[in-house]
Amino acid sequence: MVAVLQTSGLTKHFGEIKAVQDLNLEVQEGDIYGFLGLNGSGKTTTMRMILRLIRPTSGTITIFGQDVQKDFIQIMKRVGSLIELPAYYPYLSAVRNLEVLRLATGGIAASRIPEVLEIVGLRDRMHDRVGTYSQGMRQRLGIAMALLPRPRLIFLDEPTNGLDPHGINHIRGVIQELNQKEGVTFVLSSHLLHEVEITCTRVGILKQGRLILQDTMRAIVARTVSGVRVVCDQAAKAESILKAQPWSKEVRAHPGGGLRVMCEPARFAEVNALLAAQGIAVSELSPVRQTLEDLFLST
Amino acid sequence: MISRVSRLVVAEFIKLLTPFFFTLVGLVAVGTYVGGTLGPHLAGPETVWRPYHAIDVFANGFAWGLRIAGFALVILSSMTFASEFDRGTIKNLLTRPITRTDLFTAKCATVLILGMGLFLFTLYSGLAIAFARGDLGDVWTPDQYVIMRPYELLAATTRKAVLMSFFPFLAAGFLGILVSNWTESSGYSVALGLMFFLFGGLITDMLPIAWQRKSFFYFIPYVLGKLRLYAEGGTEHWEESLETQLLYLKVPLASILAFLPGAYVIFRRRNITA
Repeated sequence: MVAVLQTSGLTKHFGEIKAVQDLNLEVQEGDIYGFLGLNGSGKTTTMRMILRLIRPTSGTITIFGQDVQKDFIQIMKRVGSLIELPAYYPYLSAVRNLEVLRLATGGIAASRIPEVLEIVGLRDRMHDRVGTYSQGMRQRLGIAMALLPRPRLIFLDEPTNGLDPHGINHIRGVIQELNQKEGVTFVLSSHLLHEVEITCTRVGILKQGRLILQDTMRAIVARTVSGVRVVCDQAAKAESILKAQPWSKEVRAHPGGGLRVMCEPARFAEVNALLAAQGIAVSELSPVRQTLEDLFLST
Repeated sequence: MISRVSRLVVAEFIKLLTPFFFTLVGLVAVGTYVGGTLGPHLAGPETVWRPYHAIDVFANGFAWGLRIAGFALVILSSMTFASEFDRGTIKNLLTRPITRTDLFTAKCATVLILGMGLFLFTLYSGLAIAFARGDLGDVWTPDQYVIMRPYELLAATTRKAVLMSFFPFLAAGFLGILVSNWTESSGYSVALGLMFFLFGGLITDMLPIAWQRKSFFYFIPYVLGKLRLYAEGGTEHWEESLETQLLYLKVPLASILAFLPGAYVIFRRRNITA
C-alpha cells in the first residue's frame, strides 16, 4: 500500500501550550481514516497544519509523496477539505459560492458545480442564497466544496455535524461510494464513534496532542474482544466450573442473559468443551466486544 | 501565477458585486449630483448674465463624489481580508492550489480596479452633471467686460486636477488593505479604516503646509478647491511645486509602498484559525 499522507515528528506549540507533539500519522491510499480525540486533543490543529493553514513548530508533512511546504500547489489540486464549520458567502447562492472556489482552484469545468450539488442533495436549492439554508444544508454545501476538484484525498472535520439521521446516512453513503468506486482516500474526524466504527477502515486516536493508537479498524475490533457470553442450562454449576479455570479472569452474569466469561479468544472453544464434558448444554456462545467508545474512553 | 491571480480577481468581483456595493455606488452618484447642484449655488446666485460655469459644477460635484467614493473605497478595501477571516472563507481559499502571495496580489489588484472604477464613475457622473447644469466658455467679470479665465486654461487646469486626484484616491484603498489585515473582524476593520481616513484628513489640515504636502490626504481637497475657485473667477496661484516635483504622484505611491509590505507580512505570517 502507498502512503498518501505521512507526518513525521509533527509538532505545534502555541506559546506554552503543546497542541500537537511529535505526531507520526500514516494514511494509506484507499483508507477511510478516522481521526479521533477529545475536544482540544489537537485534531483540527493537525488538519490545519497539513493544509498549511497553520505553520508547524517542527516536523514534516508529505502528501502523495510530495512535501507540503515545497509542492503545495501541485498537491492541493488533488485535495479537498472541510475544516470545522463550513464557511460560505451567505449573500451568494450555492452555485455562486462554488463558482468562487472553482475559479480559485482552476481547471474545473462549470458543469462540475451542479454535479457536486446533486451528490450532496442540494440541487433543488442551488440557486437560493446560502443565508437561507438550514444548518444541515450548509454542512452539505461544505462537503460539496470539498468534493469540487475531484480530489484523491479529502479531509472532513466533523462532516456529519448538524445533519439529521437521514443526512448522516446519505453522507456516509457518499463517502463509502467515493472510496469504493473511485478509490478516494478520506481522513475524517468525528465525535460519533459509532459512525467512525462503521465507516472507517483505519483509526488514529489523539490524546493531548499525542497519537496514542493507530491501527486498522479490523485490528482494533479484534483487540476489543474481551470475553465470551455463554447461554446454558445449570448456570450456577457452569459459573463455578468456569471460575475454577486459571485462564478465566472473571465470570459474572451478562446483562443480556447467561454468563460473561472474561478470557482470551483462544479459550472460547475450550469453554464449550469444558461445559459439554460436565453435561451442561450450551445453547449460545458469542464473543463479547468492547465498543470503540469503550476503547476510546479507556485510552 | 498570472493565470491564478486573474481567476482570483474574477472570483473577488463575484463576491463584491452585491446590493451593498451598488448602494455605495448609488451614494456616490447622489453625492456628485448634490455637490454639483448645491456647490455653485452656495458660492453665489445664478443670473441670466452669469450662469453657473460647467467646470464650477464639475469641481463641486467631483469633490463631493470623490469624498463619498473615498469612504466607499475604504469600506470595501477594509473588508477585503477581514471579511474572509470573519466568515472563515479564507480557509476555503487557502486550501486551493494557490499561494498566499497569489491571493494577496489578487486582492490588491481588485482594490486597484475597484478604485479606478469608482474614480471613473465619479468623474463621468461629475461631467454629466456639469454639462447638464452648467455652461462652458470663458469666465468673465460680473460686469461681463473682462475675461478672468479663458476656457482653454480652465480646461487644462481641470485635466490637471483630475490627474492629480487619481493617485491620492487610490492610496485610500491601500490604506484599507493594511487595516484589513490588522484584525479578523470586518466590523473593527471598517471602523478603523474609516477612522484613519477621516482623522487623516483632519490632522493633515492642522499641519504646517510643508508637512501637509507629505500626506496623500492633502491633494484632492487642494486641487479641486483651486479648480472651483478658478471656475468662479478666483485669481489665486496654483502651487506649481505639486506638479513640477510630481508630488501628487510621489506622495501617494510612497504611501501605497508603505502600506503594502506591512499588510503582506501580516497576511503571510498569520495562522488561519477562522
